[in-house]
Formats: sequence, C-alpha cells, structure tokens
Amino acid sequence: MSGTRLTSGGLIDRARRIDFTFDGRAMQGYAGDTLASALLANGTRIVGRSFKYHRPRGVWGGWFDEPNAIFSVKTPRGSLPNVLGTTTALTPGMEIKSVNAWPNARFDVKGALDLFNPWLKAGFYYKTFMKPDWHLFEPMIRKMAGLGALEPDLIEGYTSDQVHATCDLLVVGGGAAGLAAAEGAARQGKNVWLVEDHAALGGGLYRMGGTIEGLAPADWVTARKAAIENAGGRILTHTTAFGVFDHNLYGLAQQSALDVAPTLYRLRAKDCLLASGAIDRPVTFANNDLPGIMSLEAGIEYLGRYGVLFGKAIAIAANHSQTASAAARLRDAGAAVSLFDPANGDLSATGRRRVTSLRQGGRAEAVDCVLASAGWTPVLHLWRHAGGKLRWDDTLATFVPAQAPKGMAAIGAANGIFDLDQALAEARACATGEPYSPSPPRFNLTPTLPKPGAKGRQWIDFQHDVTLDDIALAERENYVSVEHLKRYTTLGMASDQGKISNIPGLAAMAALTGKTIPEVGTTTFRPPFVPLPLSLYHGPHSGQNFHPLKRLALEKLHRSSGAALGEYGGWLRPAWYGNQPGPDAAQSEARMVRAAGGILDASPLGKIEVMGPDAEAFVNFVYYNTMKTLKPGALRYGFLLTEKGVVFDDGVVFRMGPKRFVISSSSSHAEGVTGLLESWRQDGNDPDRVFVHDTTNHWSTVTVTGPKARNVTRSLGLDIDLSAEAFPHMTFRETSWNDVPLRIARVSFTGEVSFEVSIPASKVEALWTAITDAGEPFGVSPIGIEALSILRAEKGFIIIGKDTDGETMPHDLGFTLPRQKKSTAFVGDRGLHTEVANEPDRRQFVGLSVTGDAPLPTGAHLVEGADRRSFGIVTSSYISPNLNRPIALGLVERGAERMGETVTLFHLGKTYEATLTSPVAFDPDGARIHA
Amino acid sequence: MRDDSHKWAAPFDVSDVLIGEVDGKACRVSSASINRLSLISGTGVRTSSQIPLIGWPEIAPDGPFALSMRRDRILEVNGSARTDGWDEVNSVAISDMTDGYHAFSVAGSGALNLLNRGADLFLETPSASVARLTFGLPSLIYRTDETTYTLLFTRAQAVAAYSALSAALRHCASDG
Amino acid sequence: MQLFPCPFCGLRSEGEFHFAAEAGKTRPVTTRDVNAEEWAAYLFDQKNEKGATREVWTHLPCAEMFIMSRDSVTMEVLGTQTLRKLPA
Ligand SMILES: [Zn+2]
Repeated sequence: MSGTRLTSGGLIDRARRIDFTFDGRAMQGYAGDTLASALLANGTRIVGRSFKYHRPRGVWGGWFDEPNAIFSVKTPRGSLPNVLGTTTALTPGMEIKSVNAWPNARFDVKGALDLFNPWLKAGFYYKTFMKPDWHLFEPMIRKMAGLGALEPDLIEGYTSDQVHATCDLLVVGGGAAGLAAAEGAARQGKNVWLVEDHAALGGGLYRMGGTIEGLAPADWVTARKAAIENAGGRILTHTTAFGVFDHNLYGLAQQSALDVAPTLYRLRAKDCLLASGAIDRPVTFANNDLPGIMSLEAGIEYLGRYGVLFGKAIAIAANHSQTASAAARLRDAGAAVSLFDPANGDLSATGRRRVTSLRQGGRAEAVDCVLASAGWTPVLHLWRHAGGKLRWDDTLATFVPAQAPKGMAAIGAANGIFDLDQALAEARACATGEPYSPSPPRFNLTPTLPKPGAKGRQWIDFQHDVTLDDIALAERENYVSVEHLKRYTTLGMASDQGKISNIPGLAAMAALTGKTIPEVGTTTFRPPFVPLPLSLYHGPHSGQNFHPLKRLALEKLHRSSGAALGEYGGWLRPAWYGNQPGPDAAQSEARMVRAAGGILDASPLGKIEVMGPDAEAFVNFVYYNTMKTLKPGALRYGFLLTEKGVVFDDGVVFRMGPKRFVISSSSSHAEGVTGLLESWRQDGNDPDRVFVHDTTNHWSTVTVTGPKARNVTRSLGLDIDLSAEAFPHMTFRETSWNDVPLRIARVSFTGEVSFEVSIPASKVEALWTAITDAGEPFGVSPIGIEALSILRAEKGFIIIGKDTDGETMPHDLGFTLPRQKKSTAFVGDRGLHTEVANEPDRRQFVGLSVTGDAPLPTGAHLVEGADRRSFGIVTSSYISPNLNRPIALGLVERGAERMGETVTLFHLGKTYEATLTSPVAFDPDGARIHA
Repeated sequence: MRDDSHKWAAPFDVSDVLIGEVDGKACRVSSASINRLSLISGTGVRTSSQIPLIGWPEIAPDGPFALSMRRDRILEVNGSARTDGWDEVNSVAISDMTDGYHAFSVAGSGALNLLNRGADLFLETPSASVARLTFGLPSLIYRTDETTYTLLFTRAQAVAAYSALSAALRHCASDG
Repeated sequence: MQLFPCPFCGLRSEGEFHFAAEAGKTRPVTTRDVNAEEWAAYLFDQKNEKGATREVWTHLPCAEMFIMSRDSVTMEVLGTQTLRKLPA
C-alpha cells in the first residue's frame, strides 16, 4: 500500500505526527487530519461495506456529505459507534474499526450477499421474507443489518454544556462569503456570531489555487478573522448549526473532539445569513460506487486542505466550467488527469475492489481514481427548517433559494453563486445593506441527470444501497410520491439523510414519471442537519437533575433517624424508619400508632391562602362542599372537582377569618391546586377581590396521631386547652411556641386523635426534636408514609388518584349531599348531572373482605361470567396489623348496593375470592377519632 | 416499597460554596441570608410600594426593597414586620414567606454566564417580573450589583437548584 | 422553542407558558337549567383553527392569564390582550 501524502501543502501540521490503527493496522496521520484524510493518506481504499449488499466502499466525500466512511472508534476515553470519518478530527491513539464488515472491510465474508442482489431489491423485506413467516427470517436479517455495534467501554454519561444566547446576526458558514459578510456586519456594530463546522475557517478557499484579493487563502482568512473579532464578533469553529426552530431559535452544536461532550447553544438570532456553501452532486453511472470514485470537490479538498493526492492516474467526469481549474491543480500536484464529459455518452467504471478504468463509448482510460461532479447542490437544510422556499434552476440543475423565510438570507454558494468574486460582492452587500447589482454568472454547466434504463448498476443512495433500478421498481409499483419512494426504497433514510442522493433520486423519479423535478417535489428537511449525540439534548438534566424531587426541611433529621426515603407525590419522604425490611417496619409502625401513637412529617400538605372580600364566595364556588357556612376556627373536608364533575383533589379548608381561608390540599397537589384556584380567580371571578398565596414552602407540619397524641402534644406547653371538649375534632387554633407562630389543627388521616402542628420551616427541626423527645416516654415515635397508607386504608380514607380514577365523582365515594342540595354554583356542578353521572352502573367505592390470609393484588379485577367481564378493580390492598387480616379497597359497579356479595377476582392468571363490605374496616363508628 | 435514600444526595449545608469558572470567567455560588420576605398581593400593590420596586435587570439597594412578581403581587425583602391575612386598610393580602424561599448568591464576572446555562436571561431583555424558570425550576432572580445575582428558589426545590447549579458549574469547569 | 409576549413580563420562552383554552367560551350559568348540548359544547367543542387563532394562555412565573392571537401554521404571534381590566 502506498502513501499518498504530499510533502507540502494543506492545513495539516506535519510536525505533529499522530499514530492510530485501522482494523488493527498501525498508521500515521498529522494534526489537522480527519479520520478519512488520514486513511486516504495511508492509501486505504476500502473503508467499509455497504448496508445491504456489503459492497466494498471507499471515501466518497470530503465533509458531511460522506455516505460510506462510518466507523467504530476507540479513544483513550472509550468507544463510540457511528463515527463519520470525514468530519471527525484524528486524535492520538485512536483505534478505528470499519463497520458492517466481518472480519474487516477488505475481506468481508458477507460480500457474497451481493451475488443475491436480485432478491434484495427495494421492498425486499415486504416480499421475500413474508412466507412462511417473517419472524423466521427476522433474527438473521437483524444480525446482518445495522452499522456498527456498541462496545462495552462505550463512552456514556458525559455531560453536554447547554447555553442560552442571543445575537443580532448569525452567519452560518465560515467560508469566503460568510467571513466577508460577518466582517461587514460586525464593523457596523452588530453583535455577530459566525459558526463554522470545520476546525479552520475558510470553507472552499483551500480548494482554490492562487490568491484571493491579493492574499494567499490562509492569510486572507486570518485577516477576516481578526477584523471580525476586533469589531466584537464571536467566532465558533467546530460548530454546526444543526437546526432552525420557531421564532429564530438556532441550535448550534460545538464539538472540539470526538470524545469530548459537545456544547449546545440555543441561540436566538434576530437575523441569519446562510453561507453554508454547496456540495458536489454525484454523477450516476454504472458501478459508480467503486472505491476510488469520489466527488470532484472531495478530491480537490483532500489535496488542498490535507495535502493528500489520492490518485496517480485520475479521470475527471464532470460537466461544468470549474473542471479545468480542478484538473490543473491535480496535474500541478503530480497526477495524470484525463477528462470525461458525461454529456458525451454513458459512463461506466470497472474494477472489483477498486476502480481500475473508466469507459465512455469506445474510450477507456486506466485509472486509479475517478473524480465525478454533476454540479453543485446548495446546502439549504436550514433554509427549509426555517420555512424558506426552493426553486428548481434548470441552468444549474439544482434547487436554489426562492422566497426567503423571515430573518434569513442565503449568500454565496448556498444562494447558487459559485463564482468567488461575485459571492464576495453579494455577501458584503447583503451584510451591510448596501446596494449590489449582480454581475452575470461566470459559472455554467451542462445538466447531467440519472438516465433510467441505462445499463449496469447505477447507485443513487450509497449508504442504503439504493440503485436506479430500485427507483424504477418503486415507480412500477406506484410508489411515486417522494415520501412513498423514500420509505419504500429507503432512499435518503440513512444517517446522511440523502445529502447527495436526494436530487439524483428525484431526478430519476421525474424522468420515470414524465414529470418535472419540481413537480416531483422534495421530502421534508428536518433537524438535526447532522447526526448528534443525545447527550447534547439532555445536557445536565440527567440523574438527580432529570426529575428532581421536592425535599423536606427535616430531611437531614430523618436521615440521621435511619429513615428509608422514597418518592411520594413528587416529594422525597420517609417511607419507614429503622433497619427492619420495609413491609415489617410499616406493620409495626401502624400497630404502634393504634397502641400508643406516631409522629409524621406532613409538611407537603398544601397551605394555600385565599384572601380578600370575595374569599368566602370564591372558596364556596371552587369546592364541591358548602364552605360559606364554615366558621372561623373550624375546618372542613371537601373535594375540588373538574368541570366534568370528576374528583381532582381532596383537602381540608381552614377558615382563618371572615376574609381568609387556608386550603390544605393533598400532599402531591399543592401546585396543581394553586394553579386551578388561580385560573378560576382570573377567569370568571373578580381578581381584584380575591388573592391566592401558596405558602406551602413557608410552613412545615408535624402530625402527632394516636391514643397518646394529646399527652405528647401537651408536653409542648402550648397556651391552649387540648381537651376533646375545648378543642374538638375538625377545629384548629393559632398560637405561638417559643415566640414563633404556630398553627395546630385537629384533623386525622389515621382515624386516631391527631394534632397537626404547623410552624415556619426554619423552626421545624426544633419542633420535631421536641415532639419526638416528648413521644419517647409514651412509646410514640416517627412513622413513615407506608404505615400511614395502611392506617388510612383501615379507615377507608381515600387517596385521590389511587382509589379514584379519571371518572370518579364524589357521589361514587358516598359524598352525595352537595350534589343534591347545594344551591349556589360550584365548579363541576353541571357535570354531576350528565347522563354518565346518573348511570346506575357507576363504579362506587367499597371495601373488600378477603377470603383467606393472602392479600389481594392491587389492580386485580372483579370478574363475572365465562368471559371474565371486569366490573371493578382493587385500588388499595394491605395486611392490616390491627385487624390481623388482609384488607382492600376498590371501585366496583353498583358497589354501594352490593354489600355482602361474594365476588371473584382475577389477576395474572390467578383467581381470588372476597366479600364486598363497607370501606371502613377499623373502628367503624369512629369513636377513636373524637376521643 | 423501597429505600431510595442512597439515590438522592443528602441536602447541602448552607455554608457550602461552589467556586469555578464559566467561559473562562470566575463564578461563586453560595447561600445568601435574608431576614424577612413578605408576600403582598393587591390591586395597585406595585405602584403604591413605599420602597424601591425591583424588576429585571434593576439592581436592588442595600435597604428594604420589593421584588416585582406579578401585576398585583410583590415580595418585600427585608421590609417591616407585617401581620398575615387580609389587610382591610390597604386592601392587600399578606403572607410571611421568609421560610418559603432559599436564597443563593451567584457572584463574579462569570455569574451571568452560569445563569445562561439554565435560563435565557439577558441584561438587554428587561422584564417587569423577576419571576422565571431557571433550570426548569420556578425562581426569582434579581441583581444586587453589576455582577452579583440573588436567586430565590422555593425551599422544597433548593436542593434541586443547588444540584443544577453545581452540575452546570462542574461541567463548565471541566471544559476549561 | 417559541417566544411568547406575556402582557406583564414581556417576551419569555415558550416553556414558561401553559395553554389554557381556546378563547371565547363563557361558563354557562349553572344555577339555571343548562341543557346537555350547551354543557357539552362548553366542555368539549374545539375549533382547532388552522391559521389565525385566539387562545387563553397562562404565563406560569407571574400567573398572568391572557389572550394570545397567533397563527397556528406559521407560529407567528399576532398579538396579546390581558384578561384583567387595567387601571385607566
Ligand atoms: Zn408574565
């Protein structure tokens, strides 16, 4: 194998040698190389195998247009799959592996698949493997398909930086046009950002010989860069503008090296100049996929930017006026060059593992490299993301910008201007707003489009192995719409998203159907413009930052008390305390509460203040239950409904005074309830007469519950009488403790005497310590949510969203009075009287008394008949430590009138039996709660 | 039923400080102490405020001031003590929120760069309200001098905010 | 990510806003008889207009509810209007 690197030229640093391997073979490149340029410099022709036929493939393009050079790469930090070789910088120690090839790209055992190509045409999945059953073939197909594999040392978990930014003008592309435009705008005082996806600025300038405005290209670029930065402009290299989103938001991905996490910029730019250049269009001819056949642009790019002359005997098959200068550059570099004009007849390449000759009619040239170009295709993906229109230009045989999207203009090659002087004049005028009269184009070409019916295998989409024949087949089978064509043949669906195959594919379909290309149309251009790692999008929102939980002011004390913490309704809360397994701990805590008492951190309970002259009417309106009769110092349980009449939240309303209420919503719902109240306040009520303050975060709440609750609470030494007579159930008092405001309420979720004590959060550690110290002599200690769940289920108290669903109405839960009697309007009132609400077969809340010792699975269905029709579900199920038997709650059709009925339940293939009962299993007459 | 304690880092200490560089500029994150916060709502509460009203990007004075939150709501910072409830005289609703927020101070020439990791917050885009989402969390952000920002997060989300700030700062540091 | 103009706060990122409803519906007076069709229309009827729309949105940080006119095809914001009566 011969090296192809020249001794001078290009932007590479020949003083910094980089060692790497390709499929295990040691190779050398230089700083400034991409994987592809280094492989070419080492004489590598076959870089991989094609997706479907495992045809040998070489490097075709010079940058993001490359369909073939996709590798698995291992760096000292780990491995990454699907690495595009033409855009990835070579770094020391890289181990590059070809993909889709076994054992390696040069000797691919599956290459024999190519012999079966008649059976692998477009749509082959749907046809060939259908009989007897696709699933017989699927494992084999899956094994053969795909590019690359995940290595065990995959680089994972690197964190992308994500930055929000704004600017006046974003210039996309740091080629001649982009640099000239950015300089012009920056000099006018605009806040300009210029992004360039290469490591170096300059774009296509390195493909040119000679000078630009009297300077060598590198010097001209340096001068522009200095001028832009001196005028306050910002230049980001290694940065791809990958998408345009609503209202001028641009996604920029900056990636300085393969194994360094990319940075995402969410840039809001007032205006954008698209100087994204153009890429070469392939010439479609027989065996045009042979290694050694490249785009003309790429051939010159490898020479100009990387100092690589890939062929010694080069044929150029091109159709335009820049062919001669390209040929001259290659000859100057030492190659023998022959020219072919595609207009003179059908071309065909021959060779097995690389191209060895190019033929046209009777003419044949022995070559080691073919550089082909059917003209330039402007890169207009961002233009289309932004909603810009395209126009087919017959003279350029490509799409060019038509009607511009708001705030965007295209300049230079992206605007179909392929002449440098003309592009510079246009760019400067466009950036500064000065008038500019275009000179007549000096670029011309003879349109060269695929010819259906031409002999030989003519490749359209290299990466997905779509040939001209496949497109003809799709047309015969009436997949003529571009979107159907794409999905049937997979044209343009590979990781390059059809950057080079799109126009040849459309042109072929146009020719086949007798339509013009604009009539055939294009498929939709969607972000991202190039494949990007998902870490770019999630950034630091992973791990604990993905869905952060709310945290209790007492968390440190809970941890030091040995609490097991878990998520409950968006909060991290004690599930249980101590070293026992969770279920055992929950059982003993629940037993302790009924024997003596327990102490619970109830801080997440909502404390939503409703204040103002209309507070009473407002609370009465938003609640199902009548609240206007509530007296100051008292509290009342009630439901908030949706307008459909469905239960949204249950909570307790405190009346603090004539114009002040506090709504204690359920723990997971404080924000949702605040939002609901705020929306009713502003929509339909007078927002100047009622105000809603969510003070949940200011207050923490410690609940003491159980027969000894009063004894424990008494040790706080509050100046209020805690006796049942002076301080009855469903009332509250305001006082202070150690000069700190304190609110104490008698309300219970356990069925035991309970004191809910609230205090500003910064003082709750002292309160918790005082209460737990006081509890110790009474055998009263902290309990977690798991014990609380058991205790409330013993009493038949619901948890909204667990024991109710999106159809449950208050009368299904036994709360029927306001529906029948409340005379003022309330949210959901009419919804409670619809046909559905009046259905006799509604699912109603019941208890289930289980036959046997095993608890029912939560979610088990109550079933009837041979077809096991479901007429209800188990919503909660526990072993009751206080009744020493399993208990359950559920929603059951006509449940209320079926008490005593024995029912069959079914869950995951098993059958259970239970009897429908009242939901209240423990202390049915409620004596304990009032004690 | 499982113990997830180990999945969540224990809460930070108020004395914890994060120091790093963002885009090559110094930045320091620490907890800040505020003596009193009073949430006051009422029609015209913004215009009748006796103390300076601070929106974005105004710089708050040393003495008492009021953060402009909503059309009809302010948060008094270090103002005089008030009684919770409906104030008949002034027709305003008052709630003590001193313990409802945790305050962070983000200081240094890189402070705004750090905040730009979590919010599209720019000096050249003024706003009548200091309320915004930062790192996806509700927050109030105001300036106390040219390069110092105070961030208020709800007490329950202070740990999440601290974690997000430290992740952003840690990441920026590893870049440099 | 769109930019929406909160009538109070000014331009803010779409993520801070919450869609509430199409504008133009009024809650029926439920203390009188409301027939099923009227109630169903209030709950469920949506215009889902293509092109110019009028919608109620909430700016979550400041809780402002307002009407936003926008184009559902081009995503252009055509204007906003607060639901609040403003001091004269
Ligand atoms: Zn707002």
